[in-house]
Amino acid sequence: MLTEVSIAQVLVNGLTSGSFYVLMALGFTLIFGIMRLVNFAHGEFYMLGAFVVYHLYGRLGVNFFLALAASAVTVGVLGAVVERVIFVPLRSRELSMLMSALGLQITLQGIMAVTEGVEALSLPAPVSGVYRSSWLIFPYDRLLVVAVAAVVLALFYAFITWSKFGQALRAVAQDAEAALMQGIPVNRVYTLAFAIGCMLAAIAGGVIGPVFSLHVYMGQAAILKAFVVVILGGLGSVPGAVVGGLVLGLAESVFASLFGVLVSDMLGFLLIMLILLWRPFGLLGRATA
Amino acid sequence: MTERPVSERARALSCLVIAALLILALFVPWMFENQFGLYLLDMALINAVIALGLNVVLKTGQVSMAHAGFMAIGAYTSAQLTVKLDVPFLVGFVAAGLGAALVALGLGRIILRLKGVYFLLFTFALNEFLYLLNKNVPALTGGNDGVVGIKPPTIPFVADPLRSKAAFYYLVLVVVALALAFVWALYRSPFGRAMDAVRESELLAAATGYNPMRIKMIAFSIGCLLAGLGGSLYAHFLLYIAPFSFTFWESVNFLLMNIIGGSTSLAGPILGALLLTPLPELLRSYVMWQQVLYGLTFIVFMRFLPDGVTPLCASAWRALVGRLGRPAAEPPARERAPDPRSGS
Amino acid sequence: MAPLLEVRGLSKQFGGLAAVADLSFAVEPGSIVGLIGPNGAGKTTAFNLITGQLAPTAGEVRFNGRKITGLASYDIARMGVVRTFQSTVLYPESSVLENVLRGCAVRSRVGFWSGLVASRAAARDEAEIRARALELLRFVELDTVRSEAARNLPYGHQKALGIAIGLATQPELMLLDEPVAGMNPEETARTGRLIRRVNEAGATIVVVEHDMSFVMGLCRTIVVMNYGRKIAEGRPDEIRNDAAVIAAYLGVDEDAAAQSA
Repeated sequence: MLTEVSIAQVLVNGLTSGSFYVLMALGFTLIFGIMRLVNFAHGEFYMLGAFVVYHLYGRLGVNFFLALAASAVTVGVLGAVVERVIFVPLRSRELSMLMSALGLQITLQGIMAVTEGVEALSLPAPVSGVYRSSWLIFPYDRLLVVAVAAVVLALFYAFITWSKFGQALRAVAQDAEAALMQGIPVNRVYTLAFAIGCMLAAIAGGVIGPVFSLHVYMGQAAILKAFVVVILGGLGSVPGAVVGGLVLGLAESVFASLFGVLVSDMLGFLLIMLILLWRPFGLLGRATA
Repeated sequence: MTERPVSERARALSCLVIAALLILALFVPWMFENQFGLYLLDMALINAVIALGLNVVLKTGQVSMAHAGFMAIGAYTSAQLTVKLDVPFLVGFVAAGLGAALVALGLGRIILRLKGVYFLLFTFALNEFLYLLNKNVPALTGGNDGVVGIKPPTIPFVADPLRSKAAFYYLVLVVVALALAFVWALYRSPFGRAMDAVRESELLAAATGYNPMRIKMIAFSIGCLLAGLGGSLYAHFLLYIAPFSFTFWESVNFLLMNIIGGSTSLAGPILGALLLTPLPELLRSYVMWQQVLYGLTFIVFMRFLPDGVTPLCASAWRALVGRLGRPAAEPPARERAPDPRSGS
Repeated sequence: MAPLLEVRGLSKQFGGLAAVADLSFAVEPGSIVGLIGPNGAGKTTAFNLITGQLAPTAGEVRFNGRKITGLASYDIARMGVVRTFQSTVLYPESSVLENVLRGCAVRSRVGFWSGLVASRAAARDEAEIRARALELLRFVELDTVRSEAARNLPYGHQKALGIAIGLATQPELMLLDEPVAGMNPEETARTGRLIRRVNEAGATIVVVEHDMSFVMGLCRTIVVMNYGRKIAEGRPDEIRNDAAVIAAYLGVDEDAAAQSA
């Protein structure tokens, strides 16, 4: 039943969940773009970010945005440590890095399952209330996610374009050997990139957590979405993640309203397969050497 | 067939040990009073067949994360044929293998040209897609409820259906032995040499006359055929199958068996299956820590034992044999630098 | 005698850039032909087009009168055309002997099933391949290191191994891409002698090289490329004095001199 009201709702829902997906996928595509690593543990850093916010803001009453920032920093530092310990010794062995990321995913999830239990937890939203009009219903907590996504994107863009670290990141992403010869400390850039990727995942988790419920397995859903987005938009492409996220959100919203949710889940994986076959570098990506 | 010169005595000794193991294997059910132990062994051997299949795919350099999906194709084919159409077990068993192989052949043409991580990601998506599809077509697969009431296998000339775990053990043992023999022959044949060539350098292989696509397709089909056969055995062992048994994590498990056991030798996937299958059960009381241990094992192995445990076993074996026989005249390239004293 | 290899109007465009443009030349059977030109002239691209690693945008290549443009590289190799690579491509983890054995395998007539059951024919074939591989290793003077892993070989030996693998396919035509790049004079001379021996054994050779004296000394015919086009063709003494060739190389030298100033 597609009345005018419904179409607008479907579109807004699609763009909203699309921005969720963009936020989830940003760190993931950054790590692949710089290190050529498919970070299977991405979902767990997302989950960790949500749990840090849960403890600081939900249990201790710290200001939400402060908690979010603290979460980003904590998880970022953890990411840096993990990168040094696990990935540095495996530098040229792509498959080993990938399998280690998988092992890391299992380990992190296991640790959190033991310490936090497997029950779902709910977190009060930092903003409550719902916008209602004749043609649209829009909860404010989702609006917050969209706002955070936009701010994060803007900050990230500024960082990449104008800061020294950002330029080093771009140089390494383009050609690590050339960057090395130019005197850029490539190993430190990798650590930084991984840490930033984890920070972005944590921010995504921290801000999306209150919208749905938290549990130690929430990372699985997140990384599956991140996969689809990043392959759609091109592994390693940040603009691609934006386009991919929004496209996926819209497509899912449309399909869900027409065919139901289960089918729209299948859609994601079908899209991955088709994109990999037809345009493996994604809608926006470019062939890398 | 890659270079593997070995002294006469070492070879004779190896044959003796394998023969002894085979004879010992026949008496295993007597040694196991514990029904649960036998259950684990049967499951481990079923997993060994599938892990061996994955090894064949890995040998051409393609890392597949969809092996559980092909196992599912076999399991459901065999289950539905025997339950719905009352087909005899052996027919279902063969159909399971062939069904999985045919799907592999059909898909292989389009997906085997994907390289490295892209192939891996595709198979990951494929497995998840098949899993969701499975849940969504109850008419074909029973959906989330799965297939119940699968009958235990019946073999011609054997009086009863194989209801006991001991009886099933012999069936799986035969399948594992046949699969091992086939893959062993395959790896030693000129085709095995072609597989190694394609894995090490597809560019050079193609430039010197090997057809990489044909080689990869044959390997992929054989590997998925074994997965399908394993799936059939699984279905007729547990007598119940459902989508949750064939997720991406099961695929990772088969990969882990190859990694831990060692993907470079045939013993690897078998060893890996034997080691990994009982692990969740042994750690059942520490369910959560089991997962942490699992993950840490991954990480530790990738860092320190990328070739799995078989090289350790192989070195131990060689050290043992070295004391009994003459040292090999031509040491294999990978393990030692050539001895300047040995003639050429 | 009909030419063994005929290249006619071969072209390859990458977007707006013509890597190879309207290249035409012929190679007589039994000859050694040199393909030279400044860096970026399109020589390796020409090789890639001839042996099937790349598909041309225009033109054709004929081998023994048969059109081979558009065929897959493994089909072309089976027909008797093989090439070596600029950055040495080997099977790095395998032994030297195994590397050559894999090259020999293309001439095997043993089918999949026959090989699987290790039939008598397969065993005989395997013994024959092994004997041929050992002989080839002696021919390129690598038989003493046959158990060594290919990646452990010194650079010069790796290049020789690359040639041996190509030879193993029993080619009629060998295309060698910079076989003496980065070699000292002694290694260069040795490789030159090896190439001559290969030619005397019956293979026609086309060599891409930058070492001018090497090419002039080895090849009876030389084709010069610049910016993807053929700018000269002829005997070494003709090429040495060709105005266009001198200009092409001199122009490059001038640029290089200006940049370092």
